[in-house]
Amino acid sequence: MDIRLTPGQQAVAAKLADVFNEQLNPSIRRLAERGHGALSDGGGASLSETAVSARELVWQTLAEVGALRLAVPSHAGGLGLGQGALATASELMGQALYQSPFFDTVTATELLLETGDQAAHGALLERVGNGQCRIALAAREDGAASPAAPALLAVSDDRRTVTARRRFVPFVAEVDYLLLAGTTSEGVALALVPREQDGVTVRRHDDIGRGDLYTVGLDQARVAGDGWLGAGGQVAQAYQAALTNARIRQAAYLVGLCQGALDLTVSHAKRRNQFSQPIARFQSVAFRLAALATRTEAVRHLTYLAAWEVDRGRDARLTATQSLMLAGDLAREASAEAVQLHGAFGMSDQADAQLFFRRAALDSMWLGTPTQLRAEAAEHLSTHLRTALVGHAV
Amino acid sequence: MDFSLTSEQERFRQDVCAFFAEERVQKEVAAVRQARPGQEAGLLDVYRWLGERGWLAASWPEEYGGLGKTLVEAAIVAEEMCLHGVPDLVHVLSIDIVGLFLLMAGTPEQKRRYLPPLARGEQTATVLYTELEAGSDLASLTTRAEPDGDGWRLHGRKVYSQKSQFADFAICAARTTQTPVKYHGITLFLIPMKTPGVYVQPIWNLSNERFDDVAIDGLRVTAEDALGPVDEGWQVINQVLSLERTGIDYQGRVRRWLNAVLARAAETGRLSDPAYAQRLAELDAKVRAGRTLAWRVISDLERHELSDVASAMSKWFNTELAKEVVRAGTEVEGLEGVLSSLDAEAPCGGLLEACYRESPGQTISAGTSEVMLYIIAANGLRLYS
Repeated sequence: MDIRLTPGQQAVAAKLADVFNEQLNPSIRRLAERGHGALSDGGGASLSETAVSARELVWQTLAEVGALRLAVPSHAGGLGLGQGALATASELMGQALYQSPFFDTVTATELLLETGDQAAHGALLERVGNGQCRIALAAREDGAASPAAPALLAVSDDRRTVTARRRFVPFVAEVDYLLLAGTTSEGVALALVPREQDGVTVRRHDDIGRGDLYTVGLDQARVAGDGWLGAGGQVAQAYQAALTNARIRQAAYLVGLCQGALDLTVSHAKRRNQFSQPIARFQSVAFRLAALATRTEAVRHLTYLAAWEVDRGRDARLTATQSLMLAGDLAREASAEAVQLHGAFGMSDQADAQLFFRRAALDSMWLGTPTQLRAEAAEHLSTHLRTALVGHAV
Repeated sequence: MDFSLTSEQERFRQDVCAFFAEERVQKEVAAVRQARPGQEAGLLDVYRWLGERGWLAASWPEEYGGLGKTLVEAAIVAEEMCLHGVPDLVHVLSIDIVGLFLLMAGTPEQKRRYLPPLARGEQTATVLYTELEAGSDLASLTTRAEPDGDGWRLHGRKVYSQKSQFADFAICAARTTQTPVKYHGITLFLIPMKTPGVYVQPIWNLSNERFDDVAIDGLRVTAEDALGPVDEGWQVINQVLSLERTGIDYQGRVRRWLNAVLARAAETGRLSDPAYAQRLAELDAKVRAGRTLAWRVISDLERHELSDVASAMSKWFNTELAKEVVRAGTEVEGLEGVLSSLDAEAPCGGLLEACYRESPGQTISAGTSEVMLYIIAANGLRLYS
């Protein structure tokens, strides 16, 4: 037992510290914001040229340090560091509120490694690992539905085209492929679809995070060569396993978000003077921050436990669901506390507190709302209960 | 992060579980649970049996009756003790608190004299800190050590200690020197409890385990009885407090309580009702998270990376959580949940009712929740610097 970061995790953190650190994080937080506008071409909500090139620079740096290949097994050209290392990376990204196709690209990589004609994916995976190719997952049509049950997908008999509508697809403007997840008569199916084609239409949502969410229409959209990954059976299993891993990363990202909101608020509370002293000295402020710090630490460790379970080949579904549920609730609370303890300044555009508040609203529901996760956890728990209580006399 | 136990440690846990499942142990546990008000567990036979194996103080050196194992093994025993419903307060006081003080600050002679009987489960010990006007603000204590030849005579009154009625000896904090700085001038003494000059009276309270009101009237002590340097007891207390507060026992207790609630929810069908099931799933998540906090402290201690902040976090999180669990627990039962062990119709033999009454003590004893938050705010977040 050694509940500290492993040397591998420490190395990841050290490498990523070139990008995600106290100096750069405030700038990174601002790179994600688009202007207002829900437009069909996304044009009215375009990013500044500086933001575009800075986003690209961060992405390339991540690719160079191997962030996109962290958990890819070494025989497949990856670093083989497992979900623990990815959780560390996700946490750092959460502190910076980093927005990019990173998470979906990593999840797509996991799916490409497990499904379809894997020999044929080699070249694509290499480009993905090098940062030359980005992928967004398109699973949902109904924003209230859980990603565990993807929306309907119509597939042509020859598996060459798909027809569907997908909403809340992230970063469509900068990805090369959409990885369509959908429910078919054979079960959950996966298909890789090139974004740039006539059969694909895109409209940007205008959301609370002022970020990159899109509605995508696919009308007999062409599936990439070797892009049909299959349906049902092993594909459905791979999808659920990838969802578990994605939830652990999302939980870690939210833990980072909580930590970022907390750090910001702690330094504000130490600087801000009222009644002739820093507000940090008031117990009503200090104790709330201390409680948030503790709860963040608790969820962080549960999340790492989930990652460890995956890396040890154990069933991590319950722990993943529970970590994300707690992380989602805590992220909303911590970011609201950040705004509150910053006072009116916290609501102003120039304060980062409101950025945490905006992102938490969305990111806490991204892979299932806390309510959905509670329901899922309750089901897992009933199943696990008999074994969980064995040996523990009550 | 590596959450795994070694295969030896896994085996050790299995052995410990097998022991706690033995009929003689279960019989004693059942008897304690059925105790009438006013009766409570002191030195149990279970402790002696654990002591025979060296398990009671598994991490102590063999020369003092331990097994020379790591803190992980000690934590396994403490955790399983809670999970199997073995009353653990005497163990916590004797081994984890008093024993730890002796190991850290005791002279070789004190260690040789006091530790082996504790480790064998033949003697028990307690701590006498709190006074009527000195709770969290311990340094304002007024129990005084008056110079008397080559030693002192102790005069004072200590309240809200527990298990003092059974204890063979105690650590007693007393003022040896009056100074303007109240943190200086306190000395810790090892005192016998079963002796003229020490009088123990009960203070009946909310929980099943009484508090004690201990009057000390002129008990004579010498420099040989001082634990750690004279006048520097405050520093010793602070050094040991964060070590004793791993939260392992607190998290073991909250897990046991939640297991009881979950088992009852399954029996009564409430676990199939989403309104209950989802709340319980959330509590289960929090209890699991609390467990990682407690084991993190053990993991840090093993590597001498002690942090008073990590232990305060573990204590605060797990004990506040216990309150949530008992609230949910009584709701799972409805009015049945308020029936005590004296009522034959009480579910779980009245366990939930007893836990409900026990829960406030968790966030008060060994440092209140407010003190924990202060430690986290001051030393973790550095809000006051």
